[in-house]
Amino acid sequence: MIRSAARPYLAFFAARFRSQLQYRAAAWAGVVTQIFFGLVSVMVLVAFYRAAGTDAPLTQSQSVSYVWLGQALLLILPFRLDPELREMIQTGDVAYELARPVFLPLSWFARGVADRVAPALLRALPQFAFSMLILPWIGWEEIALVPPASAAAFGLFLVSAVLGSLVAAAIGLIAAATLFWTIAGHGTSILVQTIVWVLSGVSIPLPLYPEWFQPVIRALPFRAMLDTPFQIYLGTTEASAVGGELLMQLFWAVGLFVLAWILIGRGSRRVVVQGG
Amino acid sequence: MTGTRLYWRLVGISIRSQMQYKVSFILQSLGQMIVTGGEFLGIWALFDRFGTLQEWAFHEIAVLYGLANVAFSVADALTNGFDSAGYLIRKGEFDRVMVRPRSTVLLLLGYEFTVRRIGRFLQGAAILSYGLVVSSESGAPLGLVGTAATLLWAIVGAVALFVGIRIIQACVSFKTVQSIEVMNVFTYGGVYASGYPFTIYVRWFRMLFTYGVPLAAVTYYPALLLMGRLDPGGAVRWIGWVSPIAGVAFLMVSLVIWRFALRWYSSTGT
Repeated sequence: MIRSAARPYLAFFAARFRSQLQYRAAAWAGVVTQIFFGLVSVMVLVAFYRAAGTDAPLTQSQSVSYVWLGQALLLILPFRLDPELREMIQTGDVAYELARPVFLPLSWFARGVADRVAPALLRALPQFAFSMLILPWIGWEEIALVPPASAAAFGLFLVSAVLGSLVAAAIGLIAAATLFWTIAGHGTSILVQTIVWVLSGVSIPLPLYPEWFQPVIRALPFRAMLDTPFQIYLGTTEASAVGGELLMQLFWAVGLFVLAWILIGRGSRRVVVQGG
Repeated sequence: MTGTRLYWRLVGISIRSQMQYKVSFILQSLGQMIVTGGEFLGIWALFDRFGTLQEWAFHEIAVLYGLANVAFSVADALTNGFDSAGYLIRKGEFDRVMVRPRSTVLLLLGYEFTVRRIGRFLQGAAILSYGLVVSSESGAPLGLVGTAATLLWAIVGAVALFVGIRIIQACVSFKTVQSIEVMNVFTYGGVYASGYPFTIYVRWFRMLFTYGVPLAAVTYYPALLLMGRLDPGGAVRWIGWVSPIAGVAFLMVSLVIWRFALRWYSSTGT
């Protein structure tokens, strides 16, 4: 019963996932670009660490690893509005979507998860190979990605990264829902892009922000996308706290999805479909 | 009509057409300011945490970051035509550029003057001003006129360099018929990297961006003069007054490459 209910959404996910896997040439170009940005970030961080013997909450190699993980999984983040959803809402084609006998928020969510996971997966493997294997091999251990804290930490990291993608897809869905009101979505794009950049951990590792800012970071859902899995990988989240962290991610994924559901429900009542 | 007059005419048309949507223009400019502002927040946070970046202070990084962003925003506004080359080729629009009795470079420069880049420009200019004011408080290195002249020369060199990179990027799209994301390494990546002193990078990286794509010559060395300090790597003090010429030279070379690359062009026939 549950299986047959879930089937259309799994099909949405699978179809979108397969189509996203087609963009392999783009992925390779992206890998090169991201390795470049990663190298610069990492060299900057190392220079900061050399400057002063501070009691930073992350060691140098943990910070460096955090940056590489961020580059590897960058595409999990909801940086931009789904262009196809935007076009649908702009042109009125969204009427077809509304007419389908499926639960719309969930089908869009399934699509969003595929959009997060597939491109990130394509880029993550070559980047892991570069930052974990090639860098030490050419004698540049100082800026290499350290192996996970333990085998268990790696397994939990994978679980947490999947949960992080769900949170990211839910945030993307909320952003898309605002299109029902704004149509063009420029404002939402900018807002989401900036917040995600600053608060997800790709600009700088979140633990390096000032101490007084940490409670704000912990109270917001944005760290649940990347920071939570990364800290599990690095072992900076204690083993006893991992369960709570995963539950927190689940809480955000479900909570934000429900919020998106409400917004889509309200917004779709406003839709005016132009005939033609 | 002379080339220059035609260029200004094209720029005028482009600005007027963008000003038809004033609210959208203002929002997009503000948006770009906010996005780049978020980027700088990270740099501030790292200084808050660590105090210094090796021997460099926050206001010195502000000078470098501001200079790089001001120059890139100008180059970015000028070169939308080159940035869109892949798109123009795919659409067959480039044929129309080719048949006009004017230089292709002129026509592509006049394709669009992207006014909303002013968002990044203003944000960079604000941070640059902050850096220059603090630098001058700790012993006005060049005086007002000297600072202005050095700054202007550095910006000319840096804009020329970024325009040159965009031209070469467009040359590549004659072969690939696409805009290539990898080239972003030199544009966006270049701005990002030149926001920090080049001494913090490893040797091959410094060499690449000093002698290959001479970013250090147009940002780092003139910036040293602006902040009134010597290169820890031991370069002579006056090098920053000479080095921006490298940006101009890079642009010249890219124009020569452009002329050859035009021969590779074959229409996509749409």
